[in-house]
Amino acid sequence: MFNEREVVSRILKGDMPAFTLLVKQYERLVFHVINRLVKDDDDVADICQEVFIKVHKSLERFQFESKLSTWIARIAYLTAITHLRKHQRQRTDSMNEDIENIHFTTEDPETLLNKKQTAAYVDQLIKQLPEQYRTVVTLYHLNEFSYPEIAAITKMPEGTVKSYLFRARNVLKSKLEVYFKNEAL
Amino acid sequence: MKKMTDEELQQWLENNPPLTQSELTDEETRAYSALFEALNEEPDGGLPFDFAANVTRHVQAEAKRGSELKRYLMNAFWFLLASSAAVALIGLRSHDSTNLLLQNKWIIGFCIIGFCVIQGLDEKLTLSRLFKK
Repeated sequence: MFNEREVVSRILKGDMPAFTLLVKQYERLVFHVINRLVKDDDDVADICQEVFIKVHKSLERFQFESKLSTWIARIAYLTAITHLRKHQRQRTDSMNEDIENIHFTTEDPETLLNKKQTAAYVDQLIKQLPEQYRTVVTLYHLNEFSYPEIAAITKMPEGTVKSYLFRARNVLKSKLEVYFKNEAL
Repeated sequence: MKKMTDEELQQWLENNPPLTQSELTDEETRAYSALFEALNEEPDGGLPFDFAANVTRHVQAEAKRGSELKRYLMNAFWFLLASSAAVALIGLRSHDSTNLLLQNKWIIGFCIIGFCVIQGLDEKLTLSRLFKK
């Protein structure tokens, strides 16, 4: 059983195996956030490493005002956003982008026949959503954070989080409806 | 299942287990059900197996570098203090010895700084080879 307070206390005393334990506990969480937000696959592992280095440096300032997972997710989110801002050549991602009219560029979904392929297809679609929508979808479904936790991580109002999640799912559902209609024909 | 709005359907799927085949009564329900299953499935790929160990090694090396820098600075401080004391003592005994030291102060200073730079570069090279993939 992973005891947050005990592990953090040990890390602050210089216990490196405890830090390795923390990394193993949260590497999937950090990977999901970075992988969905950062489009260049080559950078993902380096950025994840950068996140945990920041976690280690900032750990003495963590006062358990939130769950450790929420705090780490916030660091991951901010690191990803900083990376995106630095490397974006064109501002194709924007909070104000009209998600309902977004143009998806994907392979022909008629070739996707089973659940695994559907999941891969949905993953492709998600990566093309604006960054705020990608973030809330990932944090809610993959990382299983609640609405208040997502609001704390992204500093968006809870109502905005719910709205973005609803709209993102609506758009993704519409794409799948087209696919299922084509399959039926 | 009775016909629900988009919002109701999403809320229902959030709080209930996946729908069975018989409950997938229309295209919209079917699409939402498939979407929720896909959203909850972890994408392929992940971090390398030794990721945690690599991060720990990196953090340890940075911490070691930080403490060694402090040690070098302390050593340099004590060395300069000892040298200044030695020069002062020599000066008390003989003005010629002091003048000789002062005339060659730039050479002596260059040797000390050069020694510290070589030590630092050696440390950096060793660490870069340690993390080379």
